[in-house]
Amino acid sequence: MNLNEISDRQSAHSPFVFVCDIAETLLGWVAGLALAGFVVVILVDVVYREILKSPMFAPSEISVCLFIWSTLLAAAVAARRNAHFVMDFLPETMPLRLDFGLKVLAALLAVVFSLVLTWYGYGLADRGFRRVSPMSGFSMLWFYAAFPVAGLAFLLFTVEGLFLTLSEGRQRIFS
Amino acid sequence: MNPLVLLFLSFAFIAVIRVPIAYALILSSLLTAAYIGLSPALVVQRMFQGLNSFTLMALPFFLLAGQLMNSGNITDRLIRLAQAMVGHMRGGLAHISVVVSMIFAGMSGSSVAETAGVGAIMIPAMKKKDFDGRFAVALVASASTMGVIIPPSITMIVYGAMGNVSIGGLFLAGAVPGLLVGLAQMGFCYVYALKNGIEAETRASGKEFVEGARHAFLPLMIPVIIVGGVVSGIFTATEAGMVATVYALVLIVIVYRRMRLRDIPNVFVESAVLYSQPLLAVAAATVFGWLLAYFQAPQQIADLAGGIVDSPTLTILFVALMFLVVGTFMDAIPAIIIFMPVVTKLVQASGADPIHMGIVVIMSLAMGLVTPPYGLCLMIASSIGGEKITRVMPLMLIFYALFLAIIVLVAVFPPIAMFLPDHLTGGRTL
Repeated sequence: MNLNEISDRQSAHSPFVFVCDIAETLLGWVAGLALAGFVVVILVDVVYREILKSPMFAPSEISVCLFIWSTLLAAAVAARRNAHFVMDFLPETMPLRLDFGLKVLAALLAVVFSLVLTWYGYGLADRGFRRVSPMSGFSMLWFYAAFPVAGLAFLLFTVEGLFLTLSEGRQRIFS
Repeated sequence: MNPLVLLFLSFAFIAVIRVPIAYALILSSLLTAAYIGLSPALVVQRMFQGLNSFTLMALPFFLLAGQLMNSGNITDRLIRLAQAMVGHMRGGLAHISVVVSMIFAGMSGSSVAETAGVGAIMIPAMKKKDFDGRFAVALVASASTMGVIIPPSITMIVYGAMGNVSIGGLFLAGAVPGLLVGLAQMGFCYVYALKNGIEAETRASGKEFVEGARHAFLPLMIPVIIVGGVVSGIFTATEAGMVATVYALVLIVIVYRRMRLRDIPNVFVESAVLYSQPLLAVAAATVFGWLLAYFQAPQQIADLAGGIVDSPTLTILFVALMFLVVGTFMDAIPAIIIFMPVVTKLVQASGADPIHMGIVVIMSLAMGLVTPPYGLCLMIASSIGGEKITRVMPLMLIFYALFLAIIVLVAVFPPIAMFLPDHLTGGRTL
């Protein structure tokens, strides 16, 4: 049973999983919208430059900003779906308790990663208040803020993943 | 403890217990930075720098174009054309699979999208036509490796962006090696069909060929726009990707009416989730690569390589071997980013051509798509065909041998890859 199936099963019972479902949908939409945004910005830039012969103002900075937001928010959604690249070294069948222990450790490390992204991302965003981008003069906060926001989303989903790992493991060991 | 050893050991431990590679790269970098007294805040700062790249934005566009093509059933049109081209050869459907993969490779830039798109139609069709299911799975998986070799290719974009290598040059250099892979596979299909008594399909008439070409004409303009746009210097790779995406959108929604407007947002959301996976790894690997450079690891590996770097060919073969091993357990994109500083150093030390090196690296990593344990395309094709990987493996060995022979050929004879970039660009950087 994968995480989404567990999530589907529990969403009717757990307010936390319900919140995660809402967050996943919302973040996915914002990421998709940001993608549409940078498609449009680059399209308009090419039209202005190649057809109207009048280059646009700082299109690359606007599109890169949208690209960073889209990537990081969608990466949080991918984290909930357990879709990020992993190495396949461990054998599929292992002693139950060892398998459970490693899964809990992996889930804990994922939570630590989320905390790092949130905490140091916040520090980066804080410094962004005092910096501006070189071409457009936009506040760098617009670029950097994606890190702590995505960090919080990662945190939500990795904590959920930890709870699911613990409950699934308990069920397997005691059944 | 040597900080470099700590970096590698902590990464290996965290990644082996199935923590996502991106997280493992960040956590091991953080641990090592803290160990030597560097500010941990630098880790997120470097992640930002990894993503702050206009060139990397080509990756979402090519993935989105591939998603749109899959959603719009463009594969059907390509199969019709391929059938008219090679269906009359003995083992017709197998040849059609290879040719469709070649054409699809020129559009999507992603082998995974290719396996799913082509496999869903061709594997059941081949099984119906008396092909062994194991052969159908092995063929579709192996043919999909052309997705990253024939331009445009997402892997080439990442390689070019990370190694400061011409993406247009890589696109051109991948064409002939990709065709060679396809031709070798078609040769094997012919022998297989001969041994197993599989007949050809009916030869297409001239009218059917023209019809097939007419139906596939508009989708076939996508590789022309991308490769032509980049090579002629009209667009950057990113802009070419955007034009291809908009073109695919117009084609699917307005011309062919295979997708409703209300379905588009979902394609955008799913594409974002899809490209976020390699890109998070890119951001994380930038931190890891920066620490490797900080510890002068590339120089140490170049020193270890010793006399090998005296010969560009030996250096390329050495790097190919390294990536053949790495590709078996790691995705191509994080592998490129993590080891790029080492490759760059070896290119500098040996005097090898960076584009030639790039194509051999990309081909070696493409093989990782069909080798266990991380053979994504093999897994997808096996799942579509309902065959166990262990049962497919004896046939895969033949495809591996063909693929390896072509990698060695391309590594030893640079003109195979370099003929097009050398002659079409006149030596200018794209």
